[in-house]
Amino acid sequence: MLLVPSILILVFLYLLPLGYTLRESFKIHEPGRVGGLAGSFTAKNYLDFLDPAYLTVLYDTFFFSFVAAAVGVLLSYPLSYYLARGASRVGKKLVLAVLVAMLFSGAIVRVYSISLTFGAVGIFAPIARFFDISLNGIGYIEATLIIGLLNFVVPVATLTLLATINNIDPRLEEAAQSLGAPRWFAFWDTTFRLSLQSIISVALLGFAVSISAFIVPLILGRGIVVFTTNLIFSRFAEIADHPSGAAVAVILLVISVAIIQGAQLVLKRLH
Amino acid sequence: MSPKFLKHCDTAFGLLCRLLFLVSILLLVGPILITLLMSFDSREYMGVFPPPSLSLQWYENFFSNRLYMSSAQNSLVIGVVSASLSTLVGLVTAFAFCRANFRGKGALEALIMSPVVVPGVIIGFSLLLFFSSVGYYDGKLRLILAHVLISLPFSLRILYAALQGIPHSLTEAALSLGANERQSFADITLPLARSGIISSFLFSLALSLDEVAVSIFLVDPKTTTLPITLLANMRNQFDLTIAAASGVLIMFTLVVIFVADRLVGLNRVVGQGVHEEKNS
Repeated sequence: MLLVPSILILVFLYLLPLGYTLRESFKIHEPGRVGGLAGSFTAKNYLDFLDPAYLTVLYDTFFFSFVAAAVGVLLSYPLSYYLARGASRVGKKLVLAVLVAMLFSGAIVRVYSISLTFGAVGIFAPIARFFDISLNGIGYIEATLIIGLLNFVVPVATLTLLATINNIDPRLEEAAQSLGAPRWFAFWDTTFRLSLQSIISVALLGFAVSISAFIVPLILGRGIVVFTTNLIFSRFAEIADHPSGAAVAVILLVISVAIIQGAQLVLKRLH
Repeated sequence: MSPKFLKHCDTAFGLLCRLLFLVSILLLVGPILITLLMSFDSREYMGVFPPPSLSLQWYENFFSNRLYMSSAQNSLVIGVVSASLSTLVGLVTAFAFCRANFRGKGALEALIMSPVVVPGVIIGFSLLLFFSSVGYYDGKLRLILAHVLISLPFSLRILYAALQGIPHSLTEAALSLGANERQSFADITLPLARSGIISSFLFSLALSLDEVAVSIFLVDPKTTTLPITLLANMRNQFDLTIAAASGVLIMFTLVVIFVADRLVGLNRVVGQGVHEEKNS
């Protein structure tokens, strides 16, 4: 009895709608018509995706998500290590508050802040002008996009890694040092090795966060870099081609689920 | 390797760590601080940072804009209703999970948790297809239902952990002293799960107030939420009203975090480990 509400929610707001999307993705789209032709069946929406223009979108999504996940781990690790080991009580509370505030403060606020800071009136405009970097160049847009993704990856990654490092005995590192190991090696051989598994899973988490990002590529990609999520929305909003949008959604869903399942398999092997 | 070389390695390693630490903090906080400063800009156009003098004109703009105010109102209503529903459903589900083992419990839990890994755009698009094919068009309710779906995993996770932390012996004692099951739930379980209930509500509220990827498919001209309105104006406006809106939202977030810290403690919201200092 107690499970009825959650089962109703799952069936009517989750499983059935996903089923509708799967069904829609095989329908024929008629230009000028909202929604696919009822009762029709075609695989065209999927075959369309083999077009180089669409493959570029998929490639961009994965490439930038990969970079954001890798850099995100690189930045998060020292942060969580400091929080777990080095920080004073006040420093710890402060950084923790900042991270939680980042986690809670809206995606809209953060993306807008980044576009303002790195935009034409931001603090980087004079620097970029000095080095003769165009604010509208592809390189600059790609860099701001990655910074945008990092803003979402780093807080989650740091808080996850923090829990792991808190569970590793600090005395291991001290023991290694007292036996003559230099600090960096003591860290490398104890804490880092013991947290390796968590590092991999955090990287995958960052990757998953990035490929499902929507506002970051929408605003910071400035139409130059388009993510799969943006493609789904523009199929719906701009040309009302629901079947094609549904096919892209199914492809993205399959890929995201495959990554997460694959990650769990890899982690089990490592364990 | 000479000891001197190793010592240099140590110094370099320490410096590198400190540098990375500084970069990540700047990356996270820098843009927000700059936006906050810009929101007090006294110039009537979007000028180069830093602002020469300060004023509240952009805040006045924001609060006197009817579209922003009506969508903020919608957001609050949708947020409070969906957070309450999600906490309620999460509590009931967590209670059922705690009380008995049944077949398919693990599978059901995994299913409830799974929307977390589904990109929001896919959920929004699917809900749109579903709602329009069954002919359901009430804007606010559609958004509320969608937000319940996406915040339920978090509510369940928080509340399940909270209920599992309550020793069985307490409810058993209440039952053996003659309380019925409803009384033991109301007098023992609910008060002890208080911090979990508050966290779940605040988390769901924050999630709902900020939601874009799902909502963007479900809003209509009559019912729109604040993040969607801000997003729509972000691309085609050259004023700093959105910076002022960001300032208001950041204040709101800080208040929520302060309340959460007072009521439950920040450390309870994030993960705790066994080797953590107990006093912090």
